[in-house]
Amino acid sequence: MERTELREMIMKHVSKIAKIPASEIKGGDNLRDDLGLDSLRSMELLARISDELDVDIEFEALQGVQTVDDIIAFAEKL
Amino acid sequence: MKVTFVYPAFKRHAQSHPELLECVPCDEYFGPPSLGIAYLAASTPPDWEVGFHDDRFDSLDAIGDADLYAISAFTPAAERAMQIAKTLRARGGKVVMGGIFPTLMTGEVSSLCDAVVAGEGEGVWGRVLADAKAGTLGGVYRADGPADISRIPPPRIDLYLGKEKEGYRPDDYPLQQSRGCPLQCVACVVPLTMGPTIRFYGEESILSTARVLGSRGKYASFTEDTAFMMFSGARRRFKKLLKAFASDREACEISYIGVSMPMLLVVEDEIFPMLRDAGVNMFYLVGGFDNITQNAFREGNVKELDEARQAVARCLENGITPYTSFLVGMDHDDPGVFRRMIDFANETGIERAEFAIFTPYPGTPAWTRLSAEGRITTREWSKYNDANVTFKPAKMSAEELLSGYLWLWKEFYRTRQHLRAEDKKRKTIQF
Repeated sequence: MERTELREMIMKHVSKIAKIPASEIKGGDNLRDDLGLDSLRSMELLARISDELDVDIEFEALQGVQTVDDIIAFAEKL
Repeated sequence: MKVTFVYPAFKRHAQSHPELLECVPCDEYFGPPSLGIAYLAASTPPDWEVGFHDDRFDSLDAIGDADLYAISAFTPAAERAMQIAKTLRARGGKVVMGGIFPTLMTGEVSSLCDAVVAGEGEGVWGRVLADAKAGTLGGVYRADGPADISRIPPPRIDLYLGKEKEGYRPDDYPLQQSRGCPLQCVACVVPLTMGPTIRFYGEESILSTARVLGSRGKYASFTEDTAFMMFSGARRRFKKLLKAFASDREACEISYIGVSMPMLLVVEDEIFPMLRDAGVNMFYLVGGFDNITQNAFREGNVKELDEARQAVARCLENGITPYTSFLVGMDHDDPGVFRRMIDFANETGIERAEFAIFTPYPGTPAWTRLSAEGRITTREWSKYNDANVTFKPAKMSAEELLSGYLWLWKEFYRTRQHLRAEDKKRKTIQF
């Protein structure tokens, strides 16, 4: 998946789970503090992204992810 | 050579408190044993004859001769398991014990049997049987690591089906997609006994068992909510499995699935039609392990109470019955918790529920903490069944907790006596 396409896909899922329009979401937004996602919803977000990319992610891999940019960087490595 | 697996009897809510049978308008359901014995029986080499003794229905006098008796026990059955071990050894039998309780409390059982299997059995079972054959059985057998369950044979569910008789014909049998869990819930034994990594059974193995159940007119149930988890591709695999259940004409339908409220709130919409296509019409809503149900019934709490309402509503909106499990006796529970739970159940339209007393199962973090605080009040393991108070509660007396728990059962079902008129499948609950 191209980087722009990947970013759009991630923003779509962040928007859906945070219930915030994608246009209002910034890369530096903190999942918990800025977007109001608790740990379960953050994990759900990563699960949906991994589903779309057809890869498995492990619990430990999710621990360092705090911002939208972290998710993009995480997804780029998958 | 013959090995006979033994599933010891234990008490549940109705056996601990027979008065519940009068006020609960549902049929009491005796389910089949959990899958541990069926999987280990499947891993038994063909030169061993396999027997199965269900202590809930069969007299120990009828167990018959065997070269080895393998007793599997979780905590509510531990006392009975130890009694059986003593009896069989007094008759000259060789006994190995395994399962959740012997794994977490090995020292409690090791002097009562010839050997203990700690942890998953598959990795050491061949050695146990070889040692039994050679006359060298002894000590604790513990596998070096978790078993590769993707390649183990399907469970010998036929052993359980073969025990059916008049008065004991379970509608559904348990199936599992995986073992292990990375979450460290304070009262859960899954990560302690199966490890923190989710591992998966082969899909064909699960489906072949579903076909056996389908041929007998049974349903399958997935009681653990790890099927919905987002790690290790668990939910992706589960969705694939749901499709396979729906499209395989020989596979049984799924009766219910265990799920927690937080998981229910975040799971994607597309899973509901898939669940319906696989026959699922009920969720077993596990309570007390997650932040929503741990906090929703605190005095004045709004956020989690609202989330709990949303979780029940999401079930109902999707045509799935929320069979809700309420847990009482956690440290923040005061005597007002019982009334608040009933109000919630009535307000949200829950029709079927179970009520359980928080139980610090041996080996769990809750057990360690309460032991350190000197709050464990009994080591009578048969009382560790969610129906008795086994510790000193923080904000009420043990008597208040027990009477509140019994009041919940009675008060909830007092206004749901119409369930008596429903068909057997709809009104049967485990209690």
